[in-house]
Amino acid sequence: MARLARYKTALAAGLGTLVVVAYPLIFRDDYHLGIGITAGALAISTVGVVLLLGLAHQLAIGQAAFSMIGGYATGILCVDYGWDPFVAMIAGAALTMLLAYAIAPPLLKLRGFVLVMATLGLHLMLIVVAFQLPITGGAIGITGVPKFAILGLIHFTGETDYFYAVWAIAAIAIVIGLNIDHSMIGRALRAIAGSEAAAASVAVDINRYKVQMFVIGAGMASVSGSLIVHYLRAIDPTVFGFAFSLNLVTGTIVGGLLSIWGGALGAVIIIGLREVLRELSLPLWEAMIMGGLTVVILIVFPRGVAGAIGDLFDRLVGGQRARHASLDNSGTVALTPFLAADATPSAMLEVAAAARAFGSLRAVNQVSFTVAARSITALIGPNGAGKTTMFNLIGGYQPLDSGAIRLAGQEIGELLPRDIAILGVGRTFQNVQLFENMSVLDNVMCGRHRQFKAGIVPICLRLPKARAEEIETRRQAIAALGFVGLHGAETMSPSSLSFGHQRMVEIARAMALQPRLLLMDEPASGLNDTETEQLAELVLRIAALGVTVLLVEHDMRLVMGLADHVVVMDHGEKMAEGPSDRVRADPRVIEAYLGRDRDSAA
Amino acid sequence: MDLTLFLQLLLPGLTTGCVYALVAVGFVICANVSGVVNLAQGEFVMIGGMASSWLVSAALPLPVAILIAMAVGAVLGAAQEKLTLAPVRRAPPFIQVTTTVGVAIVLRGFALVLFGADPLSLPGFTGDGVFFVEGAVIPIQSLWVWGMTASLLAATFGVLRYTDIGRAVRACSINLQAARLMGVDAERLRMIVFAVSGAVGALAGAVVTPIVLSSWDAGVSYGIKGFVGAIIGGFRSPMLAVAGGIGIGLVEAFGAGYISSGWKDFIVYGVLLGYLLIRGGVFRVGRAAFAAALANPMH
Amino acid sequence: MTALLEFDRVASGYGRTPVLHGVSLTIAAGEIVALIGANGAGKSTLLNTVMGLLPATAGDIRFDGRSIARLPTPAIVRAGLGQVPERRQLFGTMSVEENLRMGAYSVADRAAVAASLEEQFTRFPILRERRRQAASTLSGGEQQMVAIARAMMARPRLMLLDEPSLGLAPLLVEQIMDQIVALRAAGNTILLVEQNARAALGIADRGYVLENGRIALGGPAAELLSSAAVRDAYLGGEGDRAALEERIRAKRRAILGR
Repeated sequence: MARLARYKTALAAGLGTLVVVAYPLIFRDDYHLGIGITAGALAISTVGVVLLLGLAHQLAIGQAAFSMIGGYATGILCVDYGWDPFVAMIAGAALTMLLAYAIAPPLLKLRGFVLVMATLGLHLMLIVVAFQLPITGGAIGITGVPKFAILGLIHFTGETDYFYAVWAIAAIAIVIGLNIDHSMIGRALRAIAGSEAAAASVAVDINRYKVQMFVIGAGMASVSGSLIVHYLRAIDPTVFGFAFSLNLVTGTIVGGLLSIWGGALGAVIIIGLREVLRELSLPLWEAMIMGGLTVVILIVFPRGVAGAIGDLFDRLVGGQRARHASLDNSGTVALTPFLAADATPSAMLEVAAAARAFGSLRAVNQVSFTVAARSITALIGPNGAGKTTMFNLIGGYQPLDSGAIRLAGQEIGELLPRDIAILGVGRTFQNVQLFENMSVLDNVMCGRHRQFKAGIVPICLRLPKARAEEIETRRQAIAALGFVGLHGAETMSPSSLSFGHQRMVEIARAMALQPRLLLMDEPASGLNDTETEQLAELVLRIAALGVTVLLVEHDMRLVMGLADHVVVMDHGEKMAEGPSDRVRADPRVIEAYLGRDRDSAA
Repeated sequence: MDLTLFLQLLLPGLTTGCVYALVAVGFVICANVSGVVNLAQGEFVMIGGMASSWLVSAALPLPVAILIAMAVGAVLGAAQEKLTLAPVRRAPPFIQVTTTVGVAIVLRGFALVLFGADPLSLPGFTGDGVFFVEGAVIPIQSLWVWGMTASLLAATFGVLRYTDIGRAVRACSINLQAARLMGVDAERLRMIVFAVSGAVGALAGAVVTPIVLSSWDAGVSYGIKGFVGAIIGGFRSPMLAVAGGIGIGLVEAFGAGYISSGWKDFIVYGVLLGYLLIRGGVFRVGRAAFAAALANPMH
Repeated sequence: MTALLEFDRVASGYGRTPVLHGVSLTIAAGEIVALIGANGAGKSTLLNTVMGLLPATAGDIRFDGRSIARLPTPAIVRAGLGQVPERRQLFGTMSVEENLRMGAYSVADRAAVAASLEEQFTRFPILRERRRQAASTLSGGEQQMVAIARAMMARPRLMLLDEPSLGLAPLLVEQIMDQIVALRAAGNTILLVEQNARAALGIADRGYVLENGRIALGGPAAELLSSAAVRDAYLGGEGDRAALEERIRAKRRAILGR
């Protein structure tokens, strides 16, 4: 993590701890302590919302449903069965997470607006259940819930004790959130938000991370619910209603949904606002003000209050350094070879009678060709020839209707882009799909995704294994940047680079994956002559490492200069292939590009 | 089978179904023209009911109150498009969706502050009498609801099919860029569609309030049930959306009457969830999303 | 030559991707100008920039002397430009007649619209036969006719055609080219963007070759048609282009040894 970011986190942690410790010393009465406790419990939930909404961009409005499950679990287990509160809280969280895990996969495949309604529907269904089932006490709910205690050893009888307990748990939630945020998973989630297609190309398992965030968020909401119930000493169906869910979302957005601290800040803002309005005898204004703030922030400054504070900090402290890093023009650095010299078969990619149609249009019609290992092969053809479709078939972005595609002998026709990336296929995109929401270095580190082995638990707890892998990933990413000649660009944001340099970053990201096959989609598009020449040299150095390159390209100078082998497509079929000079002189190829003379015979 | 009970459930179910159908059509048309699903759709119905009730209780004549409520709906709809959706047109979809949720919250809060927490009511347009069908007791106001819904739907389909502007709306749904090339001012059209949608929603709210009362938090229920209708129409076909809206109204009524009134919401939302999870289809993110991202640099 | 449309060092692109770099060209009234070039050269981008769908980041575009570079699309259509988009972009689920009526959206006078409709049906009799059919059910050639007729409905002074031959069999391509010639005979001015260079230059008065976002060649169509320069623009091999290619080949020998 960059030094500036570390200072920011330390400062936030320090300030936060100071405020939390000081609060009960200033406000000693039960009423104000109660407000503080509620804010703390809410802060636990909002961390979950940041993970799901801010990182994974999944707007699921039913968060309060999980708080309800946790709250009722605590109520039922403690009152009806006399369980220890701490154990009941853990049990409630476990149950909630299990439920979330069960419904997540089909749910998270739904598109944005549908997910909102589906989770809202779920929440409302659970409220009905709470009203109707005898075990939940119906409309009256459950009363006489004991105060919070841990394993019968520690009892929190005073409000001050409980305040510290709640905020201690909130601190744990925040730490977990930060660990996730600054890890490979955090990068993967931001990658998904930046460009799903590019995220898949670096082997990010989009659905798995969405599910993980959903489940973790559910667990945090459950814990939050249990703690609130221990404060209220009761629960009924109206406690965690629809309004509660809306508050979580609006609070998080206002606080800053792209930052874990934003969640906690948001919780404090909601509770604070509620108190201010109560003082002014305007309690009913809460919804309108929060709603209005949400809309304004989404439109004007999506990163919220936390984002604004963070920017202020950057400007005051780190001003000069971060943004104006200059590129080191000392040239390129060699990359350690990563492919075994003799392990590759002669044919890296085999396309056999591939076909794909869109309705009556046969975009790719029985096309067959082979890409030799360690070669540079170009796929060319006039507009509408079907090259892009063919390329997307190889990359898994389109399904094959018939035929086969084999990578080093292995069938990949049915595989999705992510699976193909795991097999060692890297890809660049015509319109440069960099992740705008992270630094250049983070972008390239995403390329190492498939080699990263540590799972969610080591990441949450920041175990040594996870830390070691993170350091290695960083090292490899810096090496890849040096390879493409962009040493010094690490902390820059992609949008501040020239288009040519952005293209290089994308190539560095693909190289970080250590591919055996690199697919390049019109890499020269948008480049001037100088940049095209630099690109050519880079591609040659990549080939020198033993990587097989397949590129779709229109710029004939690049194609003819680079390619060992050229495949020409027209009208969905392969019409010619061979060495570049032979293809260029082929009259059928010339006709395909220039068109047939009006007077010549059909 | 008990015909009286059946009719006692069917006809009121049809009445609420009419309101859901109008919300559903609003969802579909707005979504097709602007590319965003307006999750605040149900709130316009609530605002229409609340505003007209409040104006009537302030001694305004009923027709005037309703017209003002419709005007409020139109202005709010246009304002929502121009002020909150147009600026985030290029932002990621989840920001656009969340903005509409924010607007819904503002409208709810606004109603709460302005009209208070208690439910409000309107007198029936031609009195609060009832009529009988085979023993079932039906408020006369229901006829207003059915009549108004039928007229509005007929007008909507008529405008879409036969007028220049209706054709332009359809063209925008099919191919926005081509429509632009014909000289269609897409921004202005969007505002008009949202304004009409707001006004129609408000009218629906006003007409149904004599029967079901109106309160500041009623919008969510209308919204989610109208949404079910729109989903069943695949979010493309207004006609199927109408069928879906009326259908869910009937499911709600029959569920409450034949199974249990306490579990009524559970059944309705269960239908929504079940439909989505089983027939997810179009609404799933999959390879199609990738292809779209790669294909057109000009979205 | 009085220019009807003038491009003055226009630059544009999509978001962060620059496509056109300082393009200059002119079109006079009554002529067919062909704009050819390899795919990715920027031809569609150029047309989209004229119509206001893409903002020009530099330079100016003048129509009949008046600058249209910063105007919104509806204003540009009213000024008298019409486009037949790439791959036609018909409103598939609407009928042929509805498609044509959409073409006349910018025309306020109902009588003029009716007259225009009649004109199109006379020009393309088969469309009169199919007027109530959904546009997507027509054959490729018929769809191309609908696209042209739709653009003609507003009686534009300048017609932009974006690769009309795309996806059509050679015989249909000939038919379409004949129709374009007929349009010129009727007094229309046409900018014909095509990848099929020979077909386009075969009917055009003048032509320009677009390469990597810049005008590489320009002149009378007959001259371009017979010059080897056009072939090189597509497939490389001669002149300046060859220099870059040679340098790349040299590096290849140095780095890969082949």
